[in-house]
Amino acid sequence: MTDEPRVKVPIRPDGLQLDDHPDWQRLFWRAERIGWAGFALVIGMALAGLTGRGGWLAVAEHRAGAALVEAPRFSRRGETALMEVAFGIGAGRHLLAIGGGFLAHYEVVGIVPPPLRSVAAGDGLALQFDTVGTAPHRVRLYLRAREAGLMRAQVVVNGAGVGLRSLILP
Amino acid sequence: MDSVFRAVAVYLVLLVVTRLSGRRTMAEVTAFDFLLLLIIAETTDQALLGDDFSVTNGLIVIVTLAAVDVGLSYVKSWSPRLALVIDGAPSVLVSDGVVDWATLRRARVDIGDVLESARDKHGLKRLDQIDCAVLEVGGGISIIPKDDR
Repeated sequence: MTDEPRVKVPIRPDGLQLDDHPDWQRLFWRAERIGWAGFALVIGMALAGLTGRGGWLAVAEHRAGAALVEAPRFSRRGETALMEVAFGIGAGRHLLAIGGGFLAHYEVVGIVPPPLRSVAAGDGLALQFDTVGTAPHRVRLYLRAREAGLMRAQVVVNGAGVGLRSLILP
Repeated sequence: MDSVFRAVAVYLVLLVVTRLSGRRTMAEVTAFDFLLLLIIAETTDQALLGDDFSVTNGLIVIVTLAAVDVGLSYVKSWSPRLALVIDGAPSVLVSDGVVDWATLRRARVDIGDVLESARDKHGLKRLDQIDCAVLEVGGGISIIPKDDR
């Protein structure tokens, strides 16, 4: 076995003994510029909200009958998120049912106002709220994303269902 | 398990970002560059450890980073092509006293940087006293003065 290097370093016409791989360097400089475009793309995506936590694309609005559900479209694992339900109809009793897929990805850390009743509904959760005064009555669910991946779940507000989708980034 | 994946992911991201940022950044570490490095280190710290500040987690992350680094150095020694991709190649900025302006521009090196290196390392006063200048893989500029200076 020999300790000699396998690659011999050439001597250039100017006397420098180095392998500057000019063709490869030109290719790399091009790749470098594409990489910078990638940096700009990441920043643009973050500003647009595609990486969660703010930005106009971070939250999706869904209509479920008379109610409006605002849920995160993009979240980050371990970070807090907010889901807001605005019951469009007047005072009375409202029912909000959240599918099991939602709870598999998000932990509900707080509900404001606290529900009158909270029961398990299959692998999901059914919440009952009493409201007074004029609509819209808002309920806020404070969440923490606990599992990365694509979340698909059904939310039912006063009998009207809506499908939610959210991408939770690692 | 999570800690190992985090450490490997952060190592690879840092490797790619540092490589794409170019050697120019490392060539001259100004006071602001130093601050930037500190901020990146602080951000990396959170990405590496998450909310687990236990000694065990820290130990796993450190060992993983060291292992990936050692592993990569072996892979580079086996594959010169991969070494070229990861480390890059030296760029000749001045050859036989002729400045390669295109390479200077692409490597984002100012002629002032070459002159500074020439002054600093060899006490050269002018550009015409430089025979060769090479932007090394590590980001430093090597200067070979002309014999008849």
